[in-house]
Amino acid sequence: MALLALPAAIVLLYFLKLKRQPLEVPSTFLWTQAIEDLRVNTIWQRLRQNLLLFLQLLLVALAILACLQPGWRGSQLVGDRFIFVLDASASMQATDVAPTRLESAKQTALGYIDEMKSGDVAMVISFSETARVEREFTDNRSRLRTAIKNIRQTNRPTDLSEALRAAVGLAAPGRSAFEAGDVQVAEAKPATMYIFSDGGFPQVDSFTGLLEFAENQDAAVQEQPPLRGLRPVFIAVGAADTPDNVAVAAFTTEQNPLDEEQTQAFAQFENHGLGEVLIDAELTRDGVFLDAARVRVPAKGEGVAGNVASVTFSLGSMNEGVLKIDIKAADALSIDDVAYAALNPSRRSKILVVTAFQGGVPANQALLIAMKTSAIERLATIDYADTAILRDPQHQQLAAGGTYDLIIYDQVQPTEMPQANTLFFGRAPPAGGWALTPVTDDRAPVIIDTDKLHPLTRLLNLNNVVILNSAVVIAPQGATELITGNIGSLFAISPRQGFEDAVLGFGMLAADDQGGSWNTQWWRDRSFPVFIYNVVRYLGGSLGTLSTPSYQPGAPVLIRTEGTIDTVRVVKPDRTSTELSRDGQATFVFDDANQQGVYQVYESGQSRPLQQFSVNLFDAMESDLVVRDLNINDTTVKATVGLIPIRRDLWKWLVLLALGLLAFEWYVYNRRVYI
Amino acid sequence: MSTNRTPDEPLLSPHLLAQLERLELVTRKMFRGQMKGERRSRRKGQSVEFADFRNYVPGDDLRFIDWNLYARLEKLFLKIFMEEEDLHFYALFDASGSMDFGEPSKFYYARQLAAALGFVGLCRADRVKVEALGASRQFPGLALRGRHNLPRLVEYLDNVEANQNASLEQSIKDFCLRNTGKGILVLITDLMDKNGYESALRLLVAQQMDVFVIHLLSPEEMAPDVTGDLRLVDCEDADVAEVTISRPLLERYQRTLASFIQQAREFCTRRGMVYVATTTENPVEDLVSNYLRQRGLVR
Repeated sequence: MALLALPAAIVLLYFLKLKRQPLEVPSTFLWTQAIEDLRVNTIWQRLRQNLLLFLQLLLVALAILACLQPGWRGSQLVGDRFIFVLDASASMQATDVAPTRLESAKQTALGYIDEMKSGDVAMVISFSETARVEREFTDNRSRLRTAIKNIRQTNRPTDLSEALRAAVGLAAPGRSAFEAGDVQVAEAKPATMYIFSDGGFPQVDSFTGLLEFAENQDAAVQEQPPLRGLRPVFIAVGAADTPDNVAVAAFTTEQNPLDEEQTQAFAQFENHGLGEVLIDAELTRDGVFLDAARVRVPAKGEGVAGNVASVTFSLGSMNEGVLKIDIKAADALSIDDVAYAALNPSRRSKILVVTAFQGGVPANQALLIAMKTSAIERLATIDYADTAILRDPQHQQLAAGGTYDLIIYDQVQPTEMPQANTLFFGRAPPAGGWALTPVTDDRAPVIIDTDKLHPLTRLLNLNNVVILNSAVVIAPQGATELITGNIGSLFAISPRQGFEDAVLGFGMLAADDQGGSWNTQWWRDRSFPVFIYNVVRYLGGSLGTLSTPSYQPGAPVLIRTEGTIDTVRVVKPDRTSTELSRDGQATFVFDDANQQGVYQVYESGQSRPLQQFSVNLFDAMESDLVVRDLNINDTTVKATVGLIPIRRDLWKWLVLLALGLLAFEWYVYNRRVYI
Repeated sequence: MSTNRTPDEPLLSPHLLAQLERLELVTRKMFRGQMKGERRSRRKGQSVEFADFRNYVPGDDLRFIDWNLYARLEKLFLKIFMEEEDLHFYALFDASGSMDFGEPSKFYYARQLAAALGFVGLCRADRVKVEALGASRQFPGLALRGRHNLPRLVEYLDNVEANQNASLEQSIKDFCLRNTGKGILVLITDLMDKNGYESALRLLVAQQMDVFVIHLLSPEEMAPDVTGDLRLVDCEDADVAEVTISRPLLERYQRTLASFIQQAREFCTRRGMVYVATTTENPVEDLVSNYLRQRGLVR
């Protein structure tokens, strides 16, 4: 309060006599005349034009303000080593925060870089389902800014664990392995990892790179779960309320089950918003409008089937072209508003049945009959071979060369797995972790359950099937059990390097007597030809002939070709093309499927595409734009601000201003400036 | 503002003297001289220059009869010649304390000017009287004639001190009482008299003299280089003026100065006096050979 008296004192001083410097002049004659009219003015008028007084009052006001120490609530980064992990996945294209989530995240990250103190080092990582180190640890802020600005938006789904691995590996350079049993070889330097994401990814489980973090940090740091020297801070990007978004969840073409000649397009829509939406789904083929439908998609928690609606378009006998479905929705994310599907030119699959021959004909009549239906003959060419062929080197070469789409091993085991889908009756594949365990007790196998959804066992009614003997199918990890019996698994299917192996625990014929004693009467049942038909359709690849496979953006695509083609050309949706060479196997690996759309695979010199495949997002996690918390090892990392609040003082600036004012006052005093 | 620092060099340099030798004092009025001088008088008298003839009347000096005319016309005519007389020149300079300011000081400048004009007069055999105003007792003015008296004139000027704090009016009144002769009067002053200069100048008008007022100011007075809060002390009467120097105050000072000069000019012009305002920045030779020649004081 005493300070407030200061301005009053200054004004008072102006009223009082100043200590004036005496100066002898020839005559005060002119001066007296000059100040005469000043003297007659009142004191207030004298003060009115006194610039110096006002400047002094202003100076004192500033000084008083500085003494009161005004400040505001600012923020500062914690620590001195930072890792900026930016999500560049498809969901970051959402426009719920202008211009996009990624741009917003970049801006926030740039703001964080501005907050860095000199000497702080930081690293920039962008991630989608893979991680990319944009800039390793540096204290050069302009490089960090450039790295952040250069992060490119991808269409890919999200997986944080890759980014975590990269971050941990770079943050603790002394370590070279990431298994849980690793011996710590160097002290990890603590760093703060800022994850700029919308949280649209599955929770990160069992991230083995995580070890206990030496707890000598302050309380604010300890709130967060330890991440082996990394303190993860999750900066949520995206609007707080759920943004409206309708996504095409699935888009396939298939033959009408009632009329094989008729093609249908089937689209499924998911509404991730909170309100019911009415969308206009527009179907085009090669850019030409085909059909449209208005679909009401219920909101989350509404409707019988949840937030899903579907529509089926009838395409007639169409069997070629690129189909595109576009829901004209003005929602936050546009990448999931379109989906592509290509109609592949029909192709007959090639199937080899390796079975025991008797008298020049296959002994397994049941299989023979089931394969000879007209429906199957329309789909595939079927060759039969005796089990002796397995020792034929020419056959081995054909099998390894990927000549067949499907090889059915009827109670016989090849020495080595072919480059084809396989179906085994009563035998296990020689490799891949398969095994058949005989039942030791006298229990007869009884089928308890079948997978009604899998294409192989769809529409099968196996209630009346009697099996005399069956081994228990021990399938490798990742296999799907399709038929479950009382003794265990009877039928399972497992992927193998782009192929699939299906193993049935029992054969048609009894093992000890190949003359015609049936092990099961399944072949008499209606379900057997249906099963064989399913096998030909699914494993023979005929199911995929019409509709093309759809991959997620960024996923590696395995391209299988017939015969021995050395190079193929993949034309991307933007009409650029890539040459692929065979990698020693029968498959080509295409790993540049980042754009959404239909990719065409050409054999060199051919004008008709060999194959087509489409790349669509089809990821409910990405389409659901709700900002979620981060989940690492069952520990939720809450979205935080990341910057700790700190008091930012203003007084330094005020004092600086006051000094500037003082300089100006000095100038006014000396130069007699009159404003 | 300045101390009495008169330069060591003589008041009149040889170069200046050479310039001044070619000049002569001029008056717009014809004055009756006391002695025969080098100037044509209104009176007819003895000179080589013929003026007129007139009839002889008894008593006239026979030496002036034109005998040649008498031989032709048998009538007596008298030849009348132009008379040449001397001129009274008075140089009065202000010796008050206020003159002792500036670099060079106004006082030095005033003395230099008085010496220069006095030398012009001495060269033309005029009667030259140089006097410091208000110093009639301490330094009585000298009336000199002939250029051989230049050293006396300079000696007088060198001895005068600028501490004669008498008012202008009083000094001039004193002068007028003592000097009744008519002639040219050059008054060198800064006119800084708190009682006003008007009454003093009126006295000179009454003397019917050809008056030249040379208003001498220093550059420091024209544009004061002062700052801050000052207590200005008058060196003559110790009068105090408290000022806080600011741009408006300086502007007001300039306006006051300009009106002061303008008033003096009008006052002088109206009363037939020649007013010349100058500063000490203007060299004496320039003032004499340019300004005063234009104003008709010298030729």
